[in-house]
Amino acid sequence: MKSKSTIVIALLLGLLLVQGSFALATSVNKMSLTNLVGYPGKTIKAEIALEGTDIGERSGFWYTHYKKIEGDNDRMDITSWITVEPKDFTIKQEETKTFTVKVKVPRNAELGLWGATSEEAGKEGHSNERRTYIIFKDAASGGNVYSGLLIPVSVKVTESPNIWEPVINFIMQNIIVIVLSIVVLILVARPLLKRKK
Amino acid sequence: MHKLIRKLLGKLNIVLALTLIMVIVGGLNATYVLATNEATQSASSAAATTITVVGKVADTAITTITFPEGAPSATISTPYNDVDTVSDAQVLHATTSEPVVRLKNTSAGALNISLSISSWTGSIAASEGYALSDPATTTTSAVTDNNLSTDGTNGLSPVATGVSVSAAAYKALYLELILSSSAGATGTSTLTILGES
Repeated sequence: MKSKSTIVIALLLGLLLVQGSFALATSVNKMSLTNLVGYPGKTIKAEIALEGTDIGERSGFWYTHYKKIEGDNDRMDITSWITVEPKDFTIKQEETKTFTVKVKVPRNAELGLWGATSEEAGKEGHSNERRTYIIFKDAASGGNVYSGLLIPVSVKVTESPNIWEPVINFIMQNIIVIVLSIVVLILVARPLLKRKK
Repeated sequence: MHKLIRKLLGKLNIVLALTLIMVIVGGLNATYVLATNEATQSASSAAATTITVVGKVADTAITTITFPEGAPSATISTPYNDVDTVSDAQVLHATTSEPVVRLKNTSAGALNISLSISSWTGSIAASEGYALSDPATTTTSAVTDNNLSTDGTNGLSPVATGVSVSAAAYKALYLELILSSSAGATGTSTLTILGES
């Protein structure tokens, strides 16, 4: 009886040890950064976060990739527009690290979609429509086997906004208050002007 | 009488102006309740996780893959990982094949697998190849010699394998290295397993 209970305890301990070495990797909170909107000369900023789920510390880095396809035009490779900061990272279990993806739209960029062939490229299963990616990969300390994820990036280049747009928006949002204020000013000013006369 | 009317009109102006000011101030601070037919919706999505590279049987993460020494220009088809060790290396066989590692998808959705290597150092490699299959398959007897690298460099990387691994599923990875004609050389490279939704 005593030996049976010893065996059970040993098995349970063994199971605990097996579970302790169960392997996970690194999670990301966004699987695509597509249809980012910017105008020529603007730097678009987007945040992306990694979470360590492995029991050990992992080290890695971010880089860009262009998936070249025969017949692509020059709108597909926007890797030179993209930087990820910080580039290198180490991540522990349950640790979350946030990275800034900066996409600098050149001043001479023409309007339209860049980095993908379709606005649907970010959807699952639309890999064929993707061209420009950011990639992160990491490995356990001392390892030569990395794991990573390909994250597609595309940009919709729009016209530069009108500098008067914020003013026009303010007026439109407060039109009633502005009209009433003008009426108040007239009503108050008229008797004063008459008195002066 | 005329004077009295003018005086009253002047007072009326002030009363009207004050009323309008009250309306403006009231309008600025007002909270309008138009309807109560609102319902809260919520949804969440699981984070995407990198593919985990695990041992041949256990879910233990491996960190290195090693190709044993061979003669110049030899084909090395018995690589092993640091968990299963050299005593349980890869087997290419028509009925009893065993992979070098398994790839486990711990993401919530399916991932397409791409493979990438860094250029081999020391001019050790002439080419490198891979094969992916279901872990239950034991009939992998051959690996294409150069579908991962045709010359030992990363020129092809990343290689889209066209293989998808479902959520919580595994794939078996086989590797093969053709050594260069250099004698007495050693070299290293990194292997990256990339996932794409």
